[in-house]
Amino acid sequence: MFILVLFSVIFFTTGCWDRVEIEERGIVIASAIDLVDKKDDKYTLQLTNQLVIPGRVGTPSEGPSSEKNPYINLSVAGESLSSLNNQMRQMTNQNPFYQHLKVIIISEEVAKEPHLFTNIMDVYVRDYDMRRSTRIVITDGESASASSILDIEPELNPLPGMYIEKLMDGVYDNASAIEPVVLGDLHGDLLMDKSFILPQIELKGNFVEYQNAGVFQGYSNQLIGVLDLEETKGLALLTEKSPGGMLDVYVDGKLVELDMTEFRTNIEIKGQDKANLKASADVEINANIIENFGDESLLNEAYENKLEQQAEERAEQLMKQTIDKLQGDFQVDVLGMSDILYRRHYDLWKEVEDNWERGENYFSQMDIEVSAKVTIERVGASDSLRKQQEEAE
Amino acid sequence: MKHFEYADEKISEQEILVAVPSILIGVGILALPGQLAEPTIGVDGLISLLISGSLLILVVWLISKVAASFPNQEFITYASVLVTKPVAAILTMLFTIQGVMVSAYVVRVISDIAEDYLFERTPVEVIALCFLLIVVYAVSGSRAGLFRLNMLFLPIILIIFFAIITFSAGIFEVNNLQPFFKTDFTGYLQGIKESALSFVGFGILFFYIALVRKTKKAPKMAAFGMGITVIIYMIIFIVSVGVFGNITSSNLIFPVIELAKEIEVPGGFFERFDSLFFVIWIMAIFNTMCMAFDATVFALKSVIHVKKMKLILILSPLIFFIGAFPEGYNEVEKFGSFISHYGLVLAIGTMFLLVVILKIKGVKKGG
Repeated sequence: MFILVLFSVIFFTTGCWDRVEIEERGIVIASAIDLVDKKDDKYTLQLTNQLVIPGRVGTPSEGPSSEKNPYINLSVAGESLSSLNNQMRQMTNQNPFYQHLKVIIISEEVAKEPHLFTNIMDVYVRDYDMRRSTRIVITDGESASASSILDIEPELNPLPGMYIEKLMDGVYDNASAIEPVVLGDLHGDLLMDKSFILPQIELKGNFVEYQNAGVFQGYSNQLIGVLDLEETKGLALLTEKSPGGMLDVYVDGKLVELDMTEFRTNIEIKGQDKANLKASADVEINANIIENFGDESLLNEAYENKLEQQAEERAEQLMKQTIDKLQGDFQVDVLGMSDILYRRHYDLWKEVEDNWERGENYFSQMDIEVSAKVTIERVGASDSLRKQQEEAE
Repeated sequence: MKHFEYADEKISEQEILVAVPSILIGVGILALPGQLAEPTIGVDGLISLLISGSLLILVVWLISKVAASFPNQEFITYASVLVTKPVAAILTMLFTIQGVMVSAYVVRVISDIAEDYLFERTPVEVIALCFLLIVVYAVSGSRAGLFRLNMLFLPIILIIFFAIITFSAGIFEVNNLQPFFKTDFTGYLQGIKESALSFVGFGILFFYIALVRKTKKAPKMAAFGMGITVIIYMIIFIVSVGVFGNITSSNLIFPVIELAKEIEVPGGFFERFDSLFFVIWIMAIFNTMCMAFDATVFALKSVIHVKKMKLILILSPLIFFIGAFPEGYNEVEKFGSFISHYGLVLAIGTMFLLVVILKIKGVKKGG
């Protein structure tokens, strides 16, 4: 009898507190944060979560199993993100589950408010569920709100959140976009009050364009400006933030497009005197010719030298442009100069630390020289098309 | 209850080698990289770790040496010879208190972490109780069996730690380690203190050497075991600083857990490495706790002659309630820090006392 009771206890009273059926998990793949209202120091934020509905995604071979979208976007507004989370819990039967969160989209208005960005990020580094590999992007404020980006209906990928993530993976041949920034990287920058950059996305109809770089000022933690295509390319060259990309070079007025397959940047800081800091940035670029508007044969050495020289000038010009903008308009160091000082010239760094981006503004006074070395590796499968036509005439 | 009886309750020297890392690798290592990174700059904490580690290897060697001078004698027996019976009894009781507190602390920390990262809605008390009951079951069995369990688990634990190290190679940045040697003197001292406090529990070697069949090589083996632990701590510290950087490491409460969360096994096949890490790490904690609890029972039994099972049943509710006592993260932290100080002072103090008196009186050979 006793054994019988014992067995029935084992079989009928066991349970698991934390059992959540997969259908009940609201798997969040993307979050968008918008600023709704601002009164004095109080902000009202809007959080939009994109929840996947696994049943509607379907298998690749069968295609989508229903006409409806395989996701829902839920928006709530409130003061803190965790309270928004709670509100969301009250609206659906599903529990937001953030372990698969791929992207956090921050609207430009939010990013522009001083210190608000850090407060938002706090919940993402504090929550045990969050993963440090979640990517963070900002939107282009004029085009649309962050939440509207989650409303697009991409043809190639049923889930907008996934689409944006895949888009960022394609950055390897595009130097006008920087590599995705993940929460883990950002954590350190925020702690150290370092200036940092975040990639930007822009809504273009039913597509999203991933380009440019938003520059954040370290001590105020706010977006102070955006680097455009060319400046981002210069930044990529200076910081190796992008693994390659295109370089447009004019040789004798004719456009030649180079594909940078690899580049290595070496920045060195010279001068032990804090008022007289000098840095040199040397970039070595390996490139292939991928498109040629010119009419000379690419297979002669003189032309190659000329092309390389022009390419070097172009790269240097791009970098200078970026440096001018950063030292002049923005006065923020996103070139990693402070890291180099911290690592290799620690004592000097301690002297300039408090006056790096403000006060004496040592960063802006720094003299940065750039030089580029371009090596053309391949010309492609054929020589100049134009020339052959000329010969035929 | 019937269970398999081993031929004798003796262990080999190799089992001592394995027991030392099993005892030490537990709760401390999860937070260590952060605590060590805080007072130091770059990977300078490594120097502190190396100094405190080497000192403690010496301490462990001396402890085992003292205990091994009296082969097959229990602590109370040889301590009575050296420092009279009442003092020996008091020391034993102090070690018992340490064992109870360590067990309580471990139960508390493991259930807190499990609650935070794994079971959101399961009550903490239930997790603690489950864990405690399993440990009680293990401890009520054969003592030599526990050592064999250590031998079984340690390789698995080492494999998972090396897996973390290997898979984090992709996100490891050598630049994060710089600058070198920029910490000031007080920073190093602070680092030595923090790292020394993370090695808690080696004091129970006073008791366990008595179980070793041939004690000749035991001190060397114990020191080796300590060496392995120090090396693992050092590697974990380097990896943590290399991946997160010094400042982020010191900001994270448990850098090692975040490390397990951060790394991804290449190929996208296995995104959540942390799930595996938790399983294995709980095994490590289980070893720590079993040894602490068992040592407590072992020590207490040598003073109070009560049946082992009775002692376990008296101690386990005590452990459960002491563990439930601290409120909130800060109090748990304070409790942990108190135990670390207590354990370190007790082990080193006892060691000094016994070594000095042993030198004065001289070792009586034979026995």
